[in-house]
Amino acid sequence: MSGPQVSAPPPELAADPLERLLLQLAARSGPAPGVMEAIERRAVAAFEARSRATSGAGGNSRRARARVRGGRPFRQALAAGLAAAAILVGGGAVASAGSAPGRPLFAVRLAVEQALLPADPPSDRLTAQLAVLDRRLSEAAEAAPDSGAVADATRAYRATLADLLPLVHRAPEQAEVVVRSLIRQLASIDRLDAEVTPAARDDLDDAARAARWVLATIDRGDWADRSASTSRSTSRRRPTAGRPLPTRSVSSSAGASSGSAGRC
Amino acid sequence: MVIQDRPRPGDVTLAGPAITALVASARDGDVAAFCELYRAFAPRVYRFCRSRVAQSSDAEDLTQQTFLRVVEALPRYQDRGLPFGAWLFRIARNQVIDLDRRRRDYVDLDELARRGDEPTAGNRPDDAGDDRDTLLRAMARLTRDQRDVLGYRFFADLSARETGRLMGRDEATVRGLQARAIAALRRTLDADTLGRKRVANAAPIVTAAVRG
Repeated sequence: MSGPQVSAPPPELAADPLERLLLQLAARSGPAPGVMEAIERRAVAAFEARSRATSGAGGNSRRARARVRGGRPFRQALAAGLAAAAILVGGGAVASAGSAPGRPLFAVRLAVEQALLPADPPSDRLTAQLAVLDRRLSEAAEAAPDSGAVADATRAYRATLADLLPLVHRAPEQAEVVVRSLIRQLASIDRLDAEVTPAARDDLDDAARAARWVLATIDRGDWADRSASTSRSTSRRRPTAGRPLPTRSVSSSAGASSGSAGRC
Repeated sequence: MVIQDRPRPGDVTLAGPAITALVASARDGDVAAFCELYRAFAPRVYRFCRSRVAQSSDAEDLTQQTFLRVVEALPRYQDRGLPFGAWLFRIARNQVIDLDRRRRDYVDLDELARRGDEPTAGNRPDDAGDDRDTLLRAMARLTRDQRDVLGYRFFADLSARETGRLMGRDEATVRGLQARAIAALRRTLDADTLGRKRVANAAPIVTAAVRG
């Protein structure tokens, strides 16, 4: 990293002991080694993808579209393709205006978002996926009066949940972080339930069940067994189908690990 | 293109011909120009975010989200009196506010999670931990403008003029605001750290600073 670094405090800020303390703490508040480089890689990847999408011609854009589609279900890939075509015809500005849940370009945003997630290390990808899950719930909250948009956001939330277990399998040291995030998200879903229309409550319930199922699986420590099949099963059907979820035990055991028993 | 090194007080590093040229090139899809912009601003954006959140992992997320927003919005950016750097820091500030808003409702869970005995990847212990926690708690009680001015001036390493440009105020107003923020911070720390009940647990460096 060759960016500007905090060195000696400027004289105008160093007169007061409290100001000196602030400067000392700021100097020690730098990122851990490698963090800024990792963020830079992701930002640059996003920049390149954006550039290719807006330039929209030649082999590069074809490759970008292939990357965006990679590994996603056919319908989503088709939607992404159609939406990408719409972007190329209508201009890139359309993308940001029309990519909220419930809007035509939401699918392409999801696909681009997934394509831009770091592939490795698994812990980085896991962190990014947890942030994506948070984002989906924020979008659902923002769209609360619109049941269609809430359904879109919660479906996307469940699809992203499906990717968690394989990642926990690859980065088991992050299981605790995942548990805490899911507990927090379940609390958000719980609050959101009071804000959405009755039609959207089923979607929220599905999302909550899916999150509890993932929690239960992590709680049992059998993500290794589940990880191979989850990405197919969780995103396409309700994880609760045909079996009760151990909601109570998950809440209590997860709470014991994070000190939040009974919250969910 | 090379960006000048550390900003000096009084310099306007949020704008200037070099930044303007880099922004123009980045808008044309020049990856190298975008990298230069990232390297010029990212460390200061990170530290600004770090001054507003308790966990380093949150600061990392906020920095990343800020630059992803920049990527998204750069084609639409136009310098209409708001320099690129000021625009970027406004994005960072909005990210911080959004996170704060999202967390406000379930702060209890976050707080509980932070109290865990075992340090996690997002909660790295370091020597400055106690002092920083004490200061962050005190800063959290300041007004938003006061927190902003301390974050920009001390953590983002911006000059008073730059901070003024960012906050839409003149330099003298920023200095006054900063003085009031420091005074308020001292009062808060004094109440918190030197209070009868907590003096025994006060972080020594903070105590010394408050006593002057």
